[in-house]
Amino acid sequence: MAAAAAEATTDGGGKMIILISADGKRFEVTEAVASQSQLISNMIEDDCTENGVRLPNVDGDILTMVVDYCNMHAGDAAAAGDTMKASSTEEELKKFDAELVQALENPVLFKLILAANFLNIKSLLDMTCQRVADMMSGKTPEQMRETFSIENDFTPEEEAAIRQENAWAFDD
Amino acid sequence: MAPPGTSRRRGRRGRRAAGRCAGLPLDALFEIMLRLPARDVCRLRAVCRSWRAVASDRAFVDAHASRHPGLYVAASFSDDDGGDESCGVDIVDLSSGDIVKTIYTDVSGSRVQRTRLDLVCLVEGPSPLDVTMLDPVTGATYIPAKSISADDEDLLSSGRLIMESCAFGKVPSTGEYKVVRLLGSGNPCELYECEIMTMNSAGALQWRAIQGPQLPVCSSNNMRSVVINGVAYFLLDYSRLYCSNDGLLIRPGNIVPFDLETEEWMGILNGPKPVARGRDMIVVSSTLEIMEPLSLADLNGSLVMVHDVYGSPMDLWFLSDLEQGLWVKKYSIDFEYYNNNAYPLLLLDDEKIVFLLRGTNILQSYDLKDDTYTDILVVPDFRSVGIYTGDLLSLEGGLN
Repeated sequence: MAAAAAEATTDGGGKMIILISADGKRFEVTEAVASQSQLISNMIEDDCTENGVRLPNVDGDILTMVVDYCNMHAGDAAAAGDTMKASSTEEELKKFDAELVQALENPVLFKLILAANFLNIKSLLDMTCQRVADMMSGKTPEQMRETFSIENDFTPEEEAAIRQENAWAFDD
Repeated sequence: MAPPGTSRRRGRRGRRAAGRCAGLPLDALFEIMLRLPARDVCRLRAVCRSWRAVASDRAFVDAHASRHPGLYVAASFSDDDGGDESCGVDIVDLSSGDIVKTIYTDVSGSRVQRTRLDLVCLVEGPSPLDVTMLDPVTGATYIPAKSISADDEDLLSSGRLIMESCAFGKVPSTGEYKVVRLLGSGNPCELYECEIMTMNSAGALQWRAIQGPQLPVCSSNNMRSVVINGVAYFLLDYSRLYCSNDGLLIRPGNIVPFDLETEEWMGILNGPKPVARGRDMIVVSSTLEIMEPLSLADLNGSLVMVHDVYGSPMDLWFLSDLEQGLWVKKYSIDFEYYNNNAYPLLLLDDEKIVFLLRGTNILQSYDLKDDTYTDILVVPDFRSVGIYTGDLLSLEGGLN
């Protein structure tokens, strides 16, 4: 913690990095915020963030959420030194995370999963995937199709064969 | 219609087919399914084609397996009614005690070898020489074309022939499975014939005669042999002191390791030292009275010698260096209840040991920290339990 703080002060608040979304929106974030993405962290190490980081498969509205998330969570490390502050931050973070995923419509949630996967932000990927996994858990294939508006493209024979193949998963 | 048109149409149709399930992108689905238990994933296969494709993909199955290292045991069962579904193998989830899969076989009366593999090895079927490999994922069984090697065929007519010991394992470098076994006549003064069989995706299963060990190994071997990391370890039969060959004396605890890859015996490995002098004497002088004081186990990939002498704590010695023959006593369990009655099957998180109880056929987890024990399940036969390391999501099974 101390080292990070010291670096931040000497750098005058930390080096800034520009993230550029698929639709050309630009986001200026500190290195500490951006490097929660393993992808960008690697790019920082390799010194190839000079001209901004182009993210051709992340839309601006999704990147806005990702940057909000990273800004919020960049405080984790800095606050950990101060227990009082850390605990209140932790609570705030939980609330922030819960509101972030609960409020999202499925299509946006799915895009956020793809972005977290591409940018390799483990905590965000875990959280968003878990939200969908919870929706799937314990459901029958019929309920699953209903939840996710999926058309059954198996023939009845094919479906019967698959159920037979995986019979142990169906006999509750 | 001209070929280009056909291909365009095919392309459109392909996209539309993908689009039906595309509310959830497949890359995202991959990540989500990684976080679901195997049972849920198997149900997802019946949702639509593209979901099945992801859930059955090799890369996904492997990723899921490394994220959810399951803990399963394979145990055989045999009902007396003699119907079509009267015998087979159950795969049991140790964390819940639930049977997650049942595979019926036609190999009645067989016993599951104590292996730690993604295949199950069944021995002691209708014929004493039977060895059957079972893939719990596909339910396929594999048996050798002939029950004995060509070199040993004449033994069949010579009268009584039994399988004294049998070990089944995997060669890490090649991924091949091998079975090595020792055949004998039951005469304690005769050494055994040794045979080996290789199992891979190509070629029929065939026994081959090879050089056997120079000393007799313990028979009724299921607690006295174990395969770890491509090496089969057999405990030498210390009750047959009089039968030693070429001036070699068997000390209690002597082990002969066999390299499954090179198919060579690796000399004699001494058991843990110091063996308590008194214990040594007990073992040597009264082998007939003491049932099973020494056994070999595989605890988290380490060879373990179990010293379980009546009236003393059970000592678990871990082999720390095969070349140097170094053993470390990691656990000494002073729990009278377990004396001569328990076999350590698994070590969980360095804090719990799963024991198989000989008398009651109970699988029990013993907590080393607070000296408590919890029953997990009752198996039909404590001698017929193996650890199943395969992934139930896999469609291809262990042999591919």
